[in-house]
Amino acid sequence: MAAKVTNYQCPACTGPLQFASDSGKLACEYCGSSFEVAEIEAIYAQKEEKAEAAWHAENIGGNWSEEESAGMRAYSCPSCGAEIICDETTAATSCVYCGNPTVVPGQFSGSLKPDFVIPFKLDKDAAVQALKRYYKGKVFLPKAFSTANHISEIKGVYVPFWLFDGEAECYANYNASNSRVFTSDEYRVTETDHFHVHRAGQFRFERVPVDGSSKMPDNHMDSIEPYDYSELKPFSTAYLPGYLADKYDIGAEVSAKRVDDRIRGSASELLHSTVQQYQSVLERNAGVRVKRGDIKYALLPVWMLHTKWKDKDYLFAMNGQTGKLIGDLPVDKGKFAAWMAGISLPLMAILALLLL
Amino acid sequence: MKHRIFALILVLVLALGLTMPAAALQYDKLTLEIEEMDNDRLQSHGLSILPTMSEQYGFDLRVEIVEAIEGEVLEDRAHNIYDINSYGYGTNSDGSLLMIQVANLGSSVNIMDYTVIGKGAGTELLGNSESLLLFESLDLTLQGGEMDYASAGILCADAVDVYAGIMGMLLEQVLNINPSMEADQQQAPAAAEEPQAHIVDNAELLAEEQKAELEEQAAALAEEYGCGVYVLTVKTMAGAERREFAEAYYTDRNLGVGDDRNGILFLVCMDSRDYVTVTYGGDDHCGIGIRAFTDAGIAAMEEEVVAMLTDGDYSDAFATYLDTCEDYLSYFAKHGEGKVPQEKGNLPLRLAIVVLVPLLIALVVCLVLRSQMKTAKPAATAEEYIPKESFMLTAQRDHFVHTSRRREKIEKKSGSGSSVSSSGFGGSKGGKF
Repeated sequence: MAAKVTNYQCPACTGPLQFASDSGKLACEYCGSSFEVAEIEAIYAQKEEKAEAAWHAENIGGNWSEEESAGMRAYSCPSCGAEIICDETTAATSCVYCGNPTVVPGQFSGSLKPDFVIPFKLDKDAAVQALKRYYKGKVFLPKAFSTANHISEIKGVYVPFWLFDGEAECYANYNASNSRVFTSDEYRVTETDHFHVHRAGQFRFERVPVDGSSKMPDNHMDSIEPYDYSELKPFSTAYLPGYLADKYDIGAEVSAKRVDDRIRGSASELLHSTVQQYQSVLERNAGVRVKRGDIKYALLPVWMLHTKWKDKDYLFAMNGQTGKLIGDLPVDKGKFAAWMAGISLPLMAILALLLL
Repeated sequence: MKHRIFALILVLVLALGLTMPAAALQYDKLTLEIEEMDNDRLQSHGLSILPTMSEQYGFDLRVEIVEAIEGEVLEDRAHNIYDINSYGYGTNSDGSLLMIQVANLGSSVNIMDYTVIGKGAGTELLGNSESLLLFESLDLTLQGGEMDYASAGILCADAVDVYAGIMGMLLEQVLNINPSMEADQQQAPAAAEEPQAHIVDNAELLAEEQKAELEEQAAALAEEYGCGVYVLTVKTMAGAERREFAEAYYTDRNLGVGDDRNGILFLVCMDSRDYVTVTYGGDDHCGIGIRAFTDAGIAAMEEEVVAMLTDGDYSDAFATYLDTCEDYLSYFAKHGEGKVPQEKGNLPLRLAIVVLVPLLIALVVCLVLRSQMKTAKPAATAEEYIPKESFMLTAQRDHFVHTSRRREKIEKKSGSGSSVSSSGFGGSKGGKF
């Protein structure tokens, strides 16, 4: 449940509206009304402009050193007037004093406006449950880690992603061979036919996602893929209240390098899959030319769960749409050793009986 | 004139008498000029075995062990003695004579030479190429040099064994003379047909009760499986090659069970510390004696037995030998093929396998489990984002370049069968313990 008050107000009772991840609508907890996102958007189109005027982006000075203040912004909360300090990429957050979720205006305006958003479908509880499930069956997990399970921080984040379209042309050369073995007199003869194999091909790729936020670890973001793009919605800030949102701080050009690498990997696999009638295939060389097409900017939902154990940070990420949860867990060396011994010693005993 | 001729004959007879040893022992078919060499075996040969065989085959088998006379030709002397004493049966004087020439050195003797001559059927017999076996075997047996009287006596007895055994065989094979049943029934079985002891302990390594126990087990094996399991220990082979010695012994004693003379003989020689195993399974090598004992089986048996021999545990060694043979024989009876014990390979390699393979398996399992805990990984491909139908091959070339050929000699799996030497015997090369 996104039980956060937004600065969108209910047109019926002026109570705070929240984005409900289960229904996909903005709902009022007080009068029970619910509204389509588009409906509220229309009503607030004008109000947003006003709200923007209420924000005063200031450079933080005074007590802050140059370094500390660099990249930080201070705003005053439109609800309670307190000063909110956040980073320059923050686009949605909540006021530390009144708790009202707020959307920082201007972050997603003009050319910076995302093309799409996939709204959260799973809530915080689902994320916590998913993490608990993830602990299960992990035999090397230290017992203390799962029992003293303190999730120190859990946040729903709309992570900025670049979605790349394009085409690729690729080629590869292989050394391939087929062998047959037969016996002739007292000899075992192996005859091997050697081939030079050339393959070239082309393919299209659509919406390869690469996260554009330096705050998000790339490995985590790669691993929670894929998202179901059929639920992509045109962007609206109305999906943001109750969650954190960042704008990108890594440009599409830089992110594109990661796309190229992945396309190269796929090209190699695709071409290799067409070289079939051989027993052994070895890639000699290969090349890919990527022609990038459309680049779209989308906000995709991620639950970030953070725990600390023995002074080390453990970060888990869950796909806010599909529920796929990933992250590295600590390995108990004692348990690892016990399992090694538990498997190898009986096997040694059996082998010793058979061979010695 | 008459007197002069008489006197001359008298002188000749006296001279002959002087050259003859004063005390020559006469055991019916065997004459022994040097009394000190006498022993029970020679006596039994002369009085029992040779007369019986001679009767059975209608062929006079004679042995003369004589003192050397300088300058004589042994073969002439043998012919003379044969003629003078009217040896031989029937009008053709069918028979043969083994003459062994021994130099009496006072306190010791030296076996100088031997000859075998024949008359009538004997001439035919010894002219046959099959008779080479007799001379080869006697050559082997009568190797010597200077030795004491008793040893020489034993050696001569061995030689008479060989002579009797092979002559019997030759008479049957070459002349197709079969021992008359009549004589068989009347007399104790001839040497060649005599039931042989399975455990012959000439080197006296076993206590009587141990020997009896082993003998009982071996006899039971022969009874149950139709395969003789023999142990022979000797003090010396007098320089003979171990395998030839064992094969000659097997043949001479006509060891083995059944028509194929199936059997296995384990020979231990104490002075040269030789051991060897020979097996026999008929002329076509198809008997149980060859097929039940595979090369690998014999090698495995010897490995175990020889270790005990080295430690001096003779009775244990022979008991193990009998047990192993029993195992092989029963396996053969059940499966119709010889048992091939599992090749175990060298110990360090097996130890390494025992230690490393389980560790490797455990490591793989543990790493797989561990990888489930490390799930934040960079993506290497983008296959989910490539529409399958969009992939198109624009070029596809497969060029045949050349064919390479590698030849490897097939290592013969050793020991899965039973190899047979040209002599018709299987078994091992033997070795030293």
